[in-house]
Amino acid sequence: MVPTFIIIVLIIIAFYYFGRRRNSGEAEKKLSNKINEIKKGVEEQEKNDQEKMNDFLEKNLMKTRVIKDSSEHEGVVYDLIIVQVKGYYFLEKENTPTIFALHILDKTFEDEEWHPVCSHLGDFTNGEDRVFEMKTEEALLGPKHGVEDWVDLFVIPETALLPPLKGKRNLLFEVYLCDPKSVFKGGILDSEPRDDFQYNFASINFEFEYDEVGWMDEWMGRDRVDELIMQLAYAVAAADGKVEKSEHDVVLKWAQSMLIFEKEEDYESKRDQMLSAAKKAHDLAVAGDLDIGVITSEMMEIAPKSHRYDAVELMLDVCVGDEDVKQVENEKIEQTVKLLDLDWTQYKVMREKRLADVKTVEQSEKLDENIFGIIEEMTNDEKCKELRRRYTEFKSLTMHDDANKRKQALHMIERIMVLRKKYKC
Amino acid sequence: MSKIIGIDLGTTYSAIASLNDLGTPEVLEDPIQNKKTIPSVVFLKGNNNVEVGENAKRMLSTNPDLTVSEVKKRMHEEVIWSTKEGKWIEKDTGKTKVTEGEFTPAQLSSFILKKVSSIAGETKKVVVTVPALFENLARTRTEQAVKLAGLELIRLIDEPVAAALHYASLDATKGISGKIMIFDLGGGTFDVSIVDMNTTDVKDIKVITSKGDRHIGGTDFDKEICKLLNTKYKNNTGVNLFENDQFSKYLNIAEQIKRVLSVEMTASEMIDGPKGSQNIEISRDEFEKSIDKYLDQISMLLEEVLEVIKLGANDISQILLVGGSTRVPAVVKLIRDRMGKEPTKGVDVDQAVAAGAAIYAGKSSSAKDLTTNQKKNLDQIELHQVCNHYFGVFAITRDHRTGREEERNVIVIPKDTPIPCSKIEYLQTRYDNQDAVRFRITQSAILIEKGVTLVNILKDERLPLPENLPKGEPLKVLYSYDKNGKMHCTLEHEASKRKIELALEPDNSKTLEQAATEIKDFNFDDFKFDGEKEEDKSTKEKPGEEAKETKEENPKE
Repeated sequence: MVPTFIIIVLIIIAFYYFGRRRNSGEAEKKLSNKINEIKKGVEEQEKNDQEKMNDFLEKNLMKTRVIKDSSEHEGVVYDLIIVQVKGYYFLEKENTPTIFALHILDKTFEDEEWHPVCSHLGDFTNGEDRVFEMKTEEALLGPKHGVEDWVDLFVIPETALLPPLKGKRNLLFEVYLCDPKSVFKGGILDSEPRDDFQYNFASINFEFEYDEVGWMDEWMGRDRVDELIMQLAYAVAAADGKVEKSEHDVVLKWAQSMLIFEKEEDYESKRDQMLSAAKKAHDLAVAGDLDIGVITSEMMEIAPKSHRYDAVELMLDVCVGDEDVKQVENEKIEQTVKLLDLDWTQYKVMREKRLADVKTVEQSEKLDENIFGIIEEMTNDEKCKELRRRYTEFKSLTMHDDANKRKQALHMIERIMVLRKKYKC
Repeated sequence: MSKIIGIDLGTTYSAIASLNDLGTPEVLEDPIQNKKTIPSVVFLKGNNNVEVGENAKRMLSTNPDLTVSEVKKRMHEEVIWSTKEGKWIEKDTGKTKVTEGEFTPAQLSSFILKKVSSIAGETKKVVVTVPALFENLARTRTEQAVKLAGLELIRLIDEPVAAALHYASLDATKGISGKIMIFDLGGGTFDVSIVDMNTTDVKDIKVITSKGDRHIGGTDFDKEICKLLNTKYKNNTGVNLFENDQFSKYLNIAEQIKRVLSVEMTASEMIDGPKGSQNIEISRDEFEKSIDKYLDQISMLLEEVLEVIKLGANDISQILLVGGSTRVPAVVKLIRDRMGKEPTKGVDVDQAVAAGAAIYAGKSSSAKDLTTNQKKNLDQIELHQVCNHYFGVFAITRDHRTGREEERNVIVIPKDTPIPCSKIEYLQTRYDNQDAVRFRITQSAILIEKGVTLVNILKDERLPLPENLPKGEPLKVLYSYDKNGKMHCTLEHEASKRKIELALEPDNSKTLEQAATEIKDFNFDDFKFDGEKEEDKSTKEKPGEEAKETKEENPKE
């Protein structure tokens, strides 16, 4: 009898006990579930924020792009490359001294060895070597600085770029926002530690077609270019059938002047090479074996434009070296100018400089017409106008301090008047 | 008479004018020769005796070695007249010792100025005219000549501008408004200027531009006639009249022939030569053919000046002739053909420049020195001049197209900028302790930016800098044209307030002091004027040698 009562109590206690135990597990589970739920929610939230953060950074971090444009200056159209930037700089401190620096690397090479793009214009280098570099003025910037939309940061005339080789180039434009004291070597930031000097960086690829001879071509072809220049000079010297000593001296003087760029250890070998090339060119000229077409064709492949102008300048110096300008000499030079694809106006300036000092110009109507820029295709009016322009230039020379120049100028004016009479101006 | 006088210092003839009490300019007459124009010829008689004017001009035929003409044409050249050699010789710039009997163009011009100014009596303040194309060197030498003559230079003004002033002052030109061409063909130089003139209310004259040539003038026409005489004499006798361009003996006759041909179709003269006298006739046609090349050059300059101001011949309302050589009919025909209109007549071509200089002299006088009428006339005139040359400085630049470093003539003040004017530029030192800056200053009649050997370098000098300047130190350079059309260049270091002016003066073998000393004892036989003092007469020595005078009649004016 008693045991039934006890059993019921026990059962009740058991129910209670085990029921409690079961409830407690669920709660934990619930709690645990809850905790998990909360965790998950937090993680998702974090993920969203990160994406938003990434999105924000993606939109607002400093970026760069390159566009092409053109501009006219003094009647000449220049093709331009404009490097633009937009975005925020996210500098840590206020009033941080900063500059923007631009370098360009050529990535076209198959071996993935990138080479810097150079420039033959001092304004676009660091002044110590020819590696391309542009920098802005120093500015004090801070965390909130940046630009909402694209702004022009660097404007570069295409003619300022000197890639390693000719042809289609894949260039990498690198824009650094950095400390003004940053040092760059070969187009790469060299300052250590990098973090202290580089605050921000952006880069962009750009395809560039380069028609001229690159700096690598130039370096490799340097000696051969010097030889070809001397061949052209002797071709002019021999044009009238004889190489005068004075003309020969002009070439040797030029060869000598090229040696000043040599390092001490290379001086003698370069000198021997130049002398040997001069002799060879002289002998070829005397034998009549110099072909302007062949020489200029090779020069177009390996000589940069500045060296091609050097060649014409030396030819002009040789032409006036014997103080007597002849029609055959003038013809050879003009042929060379055309074949070397040089600017005619620039050539005329170079020629006039020398004509002003020469003692005699061969009496030849054809030569006069060449010198004064008269071509057959011109109308009579155009010829008269061109002669008038030339008259004005020589007339100003009649007021020069140098008596020889004045005398020569008066002489040239007389020849202009003869032509004007011919064309009944 | 106003206290400042105007002098037209011409290549072949000079004149002097001043304002009368009514305020109109009067060209003064040489009381000895009774002429209003005085030949710009100097006869160096020897023993410090000099003669200037008609008598000296007569000496050209008989004593060409001792007679100097066309001095003005030499003002820009590095030459001296050697009495020993009887000609101009290139100056030896290395010379430190002056040889006796050598005269600079400035000294010879001072003789002419002294003669001309003596006509005006005691007046010493002068306005002197120069060709528009006279550059810095020639202007500086003209200033020196004025000082050597014992005169005080108030201002140099351009000849076409002086002529324009005179023209504007005439009652006949009241109410004119528009572009006027001043065509000035004198004995030695040719200038053509375009001025904007408005005489409706105040007489406002604005110079727009000028062009010119100092190798075209009446004397060049005379030389062509000399060549014609030579050809004809040789045809008649088989012998040259003269050898190697030694024709100065025949210049007076040539001028005479030229004047006759201005009114007649032929002119003949008895010419004395190595094979006796020959009567030689020259036709107008022959003369005009001989000067064809000069006429063509004048024609080109007319085209050029219109092109510069971007106008056509129709836009020019009047053409004013100045200078005796405009009397040549071929010149008038050329103007008619090119400009499509007749030049304006009624202004004395020989006296317009001097008259205009007198007006300017009046304007430069202080009010208390002027009569009421003078003030009234002058107050109505406003003149604005321009510089006639490009002011440049050499700089090393890189040509983007050729990739070559080259020297360039950078223009700091362009031609036709109203004067006085100035421009400031800032340089920086290129390295620490830079001790000097090199300046090469240029002046050119046309725009030359490349081909720098064609540009006249006025001065090539290194100016010293203050010590211990760091790299990048700013330096201020002031380039300017003054009211006389002369150039100046000043370098200033603002921090130390140190200023250096680059002396844009000609390098002379003689300093101004030397030049003045040499000629201070010279006697001018002709220099007689009213009130000549006894003590002045007593210091004049009789010349040791008298030159024979020819009995040629004076040519007609």
